[in-house]
Amino acid sequence: MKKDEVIRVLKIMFRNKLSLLGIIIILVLMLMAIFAPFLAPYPDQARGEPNLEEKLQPPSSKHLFGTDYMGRDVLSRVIYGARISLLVAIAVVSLGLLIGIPLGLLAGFKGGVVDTIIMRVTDIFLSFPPLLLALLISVTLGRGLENTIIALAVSWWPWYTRLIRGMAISIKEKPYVEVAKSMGISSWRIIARHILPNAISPVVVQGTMDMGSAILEASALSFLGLGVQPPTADWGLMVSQGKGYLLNFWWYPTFPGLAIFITVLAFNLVGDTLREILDPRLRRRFL
Amino acid sequence: MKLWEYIIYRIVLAVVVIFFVVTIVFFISRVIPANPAALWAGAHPTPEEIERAKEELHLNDPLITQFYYYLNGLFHGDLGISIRTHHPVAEDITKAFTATFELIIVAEFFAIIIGIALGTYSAVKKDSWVDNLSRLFAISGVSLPIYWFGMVLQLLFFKELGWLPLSGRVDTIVMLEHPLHVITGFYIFDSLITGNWIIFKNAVWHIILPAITLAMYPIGLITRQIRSMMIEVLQENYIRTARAYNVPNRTIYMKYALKNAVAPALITVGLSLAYTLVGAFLVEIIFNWPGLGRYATYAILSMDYPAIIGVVIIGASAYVFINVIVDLIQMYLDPRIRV
Amino acid sequence: MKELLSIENLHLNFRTFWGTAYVLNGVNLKIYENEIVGLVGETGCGKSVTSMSILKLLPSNAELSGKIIFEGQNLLELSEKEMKKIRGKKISMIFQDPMSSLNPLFKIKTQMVDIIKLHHNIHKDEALKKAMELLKAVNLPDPHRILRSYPHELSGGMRQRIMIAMALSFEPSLLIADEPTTALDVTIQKQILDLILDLKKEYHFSVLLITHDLGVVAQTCDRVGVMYAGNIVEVADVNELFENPYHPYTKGLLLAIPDPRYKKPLKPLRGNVPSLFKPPHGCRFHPRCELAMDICRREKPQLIEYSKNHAVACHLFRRGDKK
Repeated sequence: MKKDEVIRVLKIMFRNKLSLLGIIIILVLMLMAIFAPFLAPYPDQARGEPNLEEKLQPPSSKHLFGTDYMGRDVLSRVIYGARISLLVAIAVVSLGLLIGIPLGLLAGFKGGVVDTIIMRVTDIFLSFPPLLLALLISVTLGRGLENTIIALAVSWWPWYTRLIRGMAISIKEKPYVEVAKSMGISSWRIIARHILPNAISPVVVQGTMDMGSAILEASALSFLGLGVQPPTADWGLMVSQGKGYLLNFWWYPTFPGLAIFITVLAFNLVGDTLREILDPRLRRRFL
Repeated sequence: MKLWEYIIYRIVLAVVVIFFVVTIVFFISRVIPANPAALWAGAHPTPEEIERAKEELHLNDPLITQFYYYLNGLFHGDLGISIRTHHPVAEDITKAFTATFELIIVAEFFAIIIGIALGTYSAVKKDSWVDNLSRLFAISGVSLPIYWFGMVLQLLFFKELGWLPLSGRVDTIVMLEHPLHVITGFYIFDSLITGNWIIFKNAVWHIILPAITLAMYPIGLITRQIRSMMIEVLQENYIRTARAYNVPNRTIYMKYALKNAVAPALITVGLSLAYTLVGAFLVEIIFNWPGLGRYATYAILSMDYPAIIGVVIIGASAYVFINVIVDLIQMYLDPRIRV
Repeated sequence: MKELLSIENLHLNFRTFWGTAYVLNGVNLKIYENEIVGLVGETGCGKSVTSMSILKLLPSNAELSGKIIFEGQNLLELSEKEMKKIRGKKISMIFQDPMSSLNPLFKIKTQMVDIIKLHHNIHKDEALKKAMELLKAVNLPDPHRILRSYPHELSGGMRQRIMIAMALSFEPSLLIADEPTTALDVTIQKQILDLILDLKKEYHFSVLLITHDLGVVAQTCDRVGVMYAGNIVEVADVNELFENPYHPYTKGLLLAIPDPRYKKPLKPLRGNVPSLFKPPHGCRFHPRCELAMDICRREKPQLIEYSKNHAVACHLFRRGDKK
């Protein structure tokens, strides 16, 4: 994408009410994650220190979101939870891109047997229902944050491989690549100089749009007890722990779940608007 | 390629993919750090008992031989014995499957109707406030952690309003007083054809909340897809032709445009079915629904690997075949691919 | 000659994501009964949008002003309901790409019957009979087979004949043909144009033929209007225009086509079509015009009848001057 096109897209993103809302929420979340120790009223409790005298207190001026079964301030833990969620989102998508992009470039540029093998493997990965593969890998690797990230990334990369392969094939047929080939320039140089720079922006855009789903799926794994382990403050885990307290202590699972919802919604609002702007099929025929 | 040749090609491809899935799942499951023999032998096993269990489960044989035994069993519809329940996994899964399937069908039914209506309306009124609202609703649908959403609904409709039951498939007491003659395993259907209205009402009452919860994601997915397909189709030249000859808007939207938009949107319906399959895992835990998801969760928690593999294989197979069927329906709808 | 359609000072803007596009900038054009008028210009000059404006088939972000007088009433003032009595009945339209103009998922039968039934208020069987007659009228062999076909099973020429057949179903007084032959092979082009000419003789309608191909214009039209960036810059009888073009843009166009009558070397126009978001002030052609004067940058030239049946919008040709 050219620079002025980026600026134009950004302008529209800020003008559209829904995407503006998403951008603001994401910025707030980032600030929350960075300044968590200063923003959280009870940073120690957010890190896991119990406070048994104040078990399961309803929301009050002292504890805006109430307290959990160990008396810890839910608000503080929700603020700290933003760190885990953003970390997971960025790590899963970058890892997925890191695996997916080279494989996709190789398949698209080389073609032939290499292409067939890579794409059949991709097909098999994609024929698992979403989340099921991540679940299986999580079970295999064991619980914990790193393993959740690995499990999600492993089920994530085939999408990027497929996307960038398509881009690579279309660029490969452009005259300037043909010329470069006929001049005897090495494959790696052609990939690095011509194909990668032209193919990468849609894939990176796709990656940005996927961050919401990454958070959602990671939280589902946490909810199933396969993700982050206590006493770390993680939204999915908090909903899971609060599940049994739902009917009598509603605030306990409600606020962490709301945090997941709002975060994923924000990413998807931005992603959906971005998709609409960049998808040429959705533009009006008359300009 | 002729139509039936293509169908056979797709089915062969699906079988190959499922074979790979089985292979991968089998070998992954053998890496799981657990001691199934100890589980199998029951509480407080002696070393001899564990040894005997290993023998029974073929755990002493080389991996390839174990794989052969497994594949051989699979061909005879045998998925092994669950370590946790000591029942054949195939039997457990069949029982759980109808419960899950009933839930998925009801959820998907709502999702398709609401999704198509909302998506079409949104596309026709593009950029209006109705469109913005329905976009927000659709995006919310795909952003909800459904296990949490189910809990919120329980809080609202069970605790606060008292309108709907908290969980389960039917009330046990009602079931005892009015026993249901199970034919297909779908309670709503079975009670309907046997005229067991009390169970019917009870089953419908119970399915509302989990079905709504499960439908949210596909509603969002289908609405968004139908909307963008419709926007694209409405710009097509043949729509312009229809307008130039005064074909009424209703005919244009519901006949000319929708048929063009539905064919590609079917892929999304297939995809959303897969999501509901996995979503059902989470929903069933919240609503204590006796389906595959609840079964799988218990299996995971107790490292019951024959059950885990069984569920994954059934889930992946269902997914693969849904995709094949979607493809074939799409071919039927679009004469251009049919050649 | 009786006036059939008169477009007066038509302005059209599109509000888009990226800003407002000033697409039509005061278009003036008259069409008389029983004549073929060509409208030529480069892609994006506003030819097609002009025709869509006549039928009011523009997207909702369009802003239209001016007058379009058809059989005595201003179409721009008509309600959607009143428009329905005109659209498809008195004014029919055929389009550039007959493949994409027919719905790929429905048989020809369904698409034709839906339209015929709608307007004539008749039963399906009668509509089918009428469809058959129409297909015969456009010289399509084996109408039975064609009615049972899907669009992709037919050739481009056949599809365009079907479009023409649909246009004829109500004996229109004006047929708008938007690049009807552009997507077709040269041999088929000729057949389709001949068909339109034959049908015109038989049914006595006028034709507004939109094209970028001056060869097509020379073959078929009585009069021709030249469009540039949302303006009609020159209108004249066909022969007059080819023999004696006034406007520098028309001259440029004629020089840019390989025509055996002009034995000069090909000379493409310099510069590019201007952006419609920021059109040039004054005469929109001035940045590309070799003869541009000061006034061209300031003032928009009006379309005036400079000699008999030959109008031009250019400051080089003022009213009262005589060449």
